[in-house]
Amino acid sequence: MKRALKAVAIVAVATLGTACSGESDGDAQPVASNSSVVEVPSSEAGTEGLPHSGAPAVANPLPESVLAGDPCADAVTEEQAKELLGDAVTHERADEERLGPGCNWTNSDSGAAFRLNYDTKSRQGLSGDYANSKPKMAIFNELEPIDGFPAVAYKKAEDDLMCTTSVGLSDEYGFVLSVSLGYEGEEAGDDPCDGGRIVAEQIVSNLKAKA
Amino acid sequence: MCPLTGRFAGALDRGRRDGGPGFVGFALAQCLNRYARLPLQLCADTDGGGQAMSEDAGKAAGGSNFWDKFTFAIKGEKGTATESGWLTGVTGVGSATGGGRFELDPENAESLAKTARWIRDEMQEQALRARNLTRMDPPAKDPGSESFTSVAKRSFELGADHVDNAYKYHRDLAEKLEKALGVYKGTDEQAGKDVKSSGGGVIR
Repeated sequence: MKRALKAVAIVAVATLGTACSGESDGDAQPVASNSSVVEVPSSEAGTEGLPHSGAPAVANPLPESVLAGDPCADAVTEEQAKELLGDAVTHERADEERLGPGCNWTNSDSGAAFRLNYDTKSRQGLSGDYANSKPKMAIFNELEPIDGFPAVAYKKAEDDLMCTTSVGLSDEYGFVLSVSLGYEGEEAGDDPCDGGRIVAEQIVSNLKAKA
Repeated sequence: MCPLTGRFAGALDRGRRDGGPGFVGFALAQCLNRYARLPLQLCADTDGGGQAMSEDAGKAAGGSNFWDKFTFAIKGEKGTATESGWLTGVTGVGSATGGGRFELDPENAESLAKTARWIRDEMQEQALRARNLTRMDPPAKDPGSESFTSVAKRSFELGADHVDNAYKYHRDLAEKLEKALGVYKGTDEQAGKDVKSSGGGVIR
């Protein structure tokens, strides 16, 4: 065993010696070699590489401080929640470890609901939706900017009762909102993405007022 | 097949012919016995490889309604009510759709509707949570973790589909029961339709 280890060590030293034998004296310089170039998939790009995966840049970002409060109170007021989901609406905090603070609003009578999460933790902003949600969803639409902020909406099928709307408030952060239709909306053939845009517009308006 | 009591047997038999015996047995056993704790003897029929969850239960939180095949009849002192209205003839229940019939007394129907609604809300919350998380980035950038993450992602998607199905199933069950209860509690069929009108929000 010791003999084998010794042989390995000798080979390793010899290899190092060979590798260095072609070097000339002088200052160390970075080596540019085609073999060392590793193409990083767009979904793996860091914060510096934002936006990526086809996501649009956010021209005039909102300060991140607008996402610091309680989304149940700041993003949608009680009065607005009643207008959106009806008088029987209730809410509870729904923070998500991987995204950020969140809130869930439900009307148990109508069966309609929506859930909001600020995305302050992924540091990918809307690029996360383009990189990760777009390949999974049958329907993925770029929306007209909401008050100047880029947004997308996606769902699994045309008759999906749920739709997710994502808004980029900067290249790095924003919020994601999923809406579920109630019974009446389902029967009437409503598109949950329409409701998602209405709620998202309200949220953007409230957050802008907070800035 | 295990023996059933009450009038659920007919529904289960019809359900089996439609290819969903295990699902019906499993789901009702869950809803009625485990959650609502009603005094009914129900058990899953696994003959022929019954499955715990049918694809018909819901697709992407939309699609077909599993419960369309079945009729819920609430039988009390006032008569027998279904989601379609008062029953005037015993033979009519369930036959129109070729499905089965579930007959409940008002108290048990109330309890079951309440339970179904609670489960629906829980499932809805989980389904919405899963939607919000679809944008989640891989947790690490090294190839090993990336590989793991791609598997985990797929697993997550399958899990999300399951939640969607469970949500749709309980949503439809709650609706059907509440409509039948609305008819029973009200004076006419309009009561059943009014159940859905409570709310008044933009998202309805």
